[in-house]
Amino acid sequence: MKTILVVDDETDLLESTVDIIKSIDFDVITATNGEEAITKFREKMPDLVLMDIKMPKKDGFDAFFKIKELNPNAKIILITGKLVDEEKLKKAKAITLILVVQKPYSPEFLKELVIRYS
Amino acid sequence: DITEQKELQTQLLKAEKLSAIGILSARLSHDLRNPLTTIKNTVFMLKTKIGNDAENIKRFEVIDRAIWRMALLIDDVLDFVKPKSLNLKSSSIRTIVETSIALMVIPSTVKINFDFPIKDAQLKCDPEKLEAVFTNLITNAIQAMNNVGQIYLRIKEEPENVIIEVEDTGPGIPDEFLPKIFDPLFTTKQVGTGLGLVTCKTIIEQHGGSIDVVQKPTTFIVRIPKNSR
Repeated sequence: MKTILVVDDETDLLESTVDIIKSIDFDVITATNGEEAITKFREKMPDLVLMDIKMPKKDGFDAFFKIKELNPNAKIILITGKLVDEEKLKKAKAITLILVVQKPYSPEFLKELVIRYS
Repeated sequence: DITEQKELQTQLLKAEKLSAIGILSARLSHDLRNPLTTIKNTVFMLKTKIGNDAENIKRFEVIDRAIWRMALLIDDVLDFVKPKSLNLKSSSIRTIVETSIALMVIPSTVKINFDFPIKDAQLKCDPEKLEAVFTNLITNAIQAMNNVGQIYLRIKEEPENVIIEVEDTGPGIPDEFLPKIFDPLFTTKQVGTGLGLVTCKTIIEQHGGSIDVVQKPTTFIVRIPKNSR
């Protein structure tokens, strides 16, 4: 079974996202900030990472760059509520960021992303 | 002179206030999108459990529409701060007006009367944005009548334009407020951003149209070209 790492500092949103991904038979691990995401990634090497950008401690972009250092082939999708640091986005795209998803996304779209990119 | 200085000061204050709104709305949009996504996800999971219960399917449709409307409202505020370009498609004006009503909860004490021509007019426009305009105008009408009265919706056609009128049986807009109703942040309500009418005006002008108001009875007249560019 494939494993998805979902990272968001808002626990209700995190739980509801996990619920959807589990419903299509994937294993899910979670983290609530960028630092924890890096640790979890190192431990479990998930097949796909879904990560919010705006987070405490280390934001989604910084965690993205760190994870890419650990494994350049890591598959990562970033999620945003709107504010995106254009500079960081450009840098991330240059090292194969899959895509940036805008909230509120539809659950159907989330399922499709997980199936297609994991 | 002093009058000019005062005017300049007022303008500056207004600009400062608007800039503060810009910052606030950008923050709000992020913070609102999170709970909205949570609601969307949770509703989706609940829907998988209800089976074929028609009553509950209907209730979930209502929630879905409300979620959609909230997402649109967030976009509206952001659009005001930084207007997005129009997503033009060929649309039926009747469907646009009817959809905007379907998205609303109309009090049972408000009656909506339709006066639509038999032949539906097609226009090239951004239907979602226009729906937001009519939802806004109808909401204002309901609030102006204190939830009791009648609303008349009329669609008229000119060779180049479509005209939509929203008339209500409320007490009318006080004369001293009339020049200000399309100003950003102007509101007479206890609850309201003061962005509703100015957002309507921006959207209609993006379509190359116009919005006017006449009194006795209060009627908002929206004129949209059939072929917006």
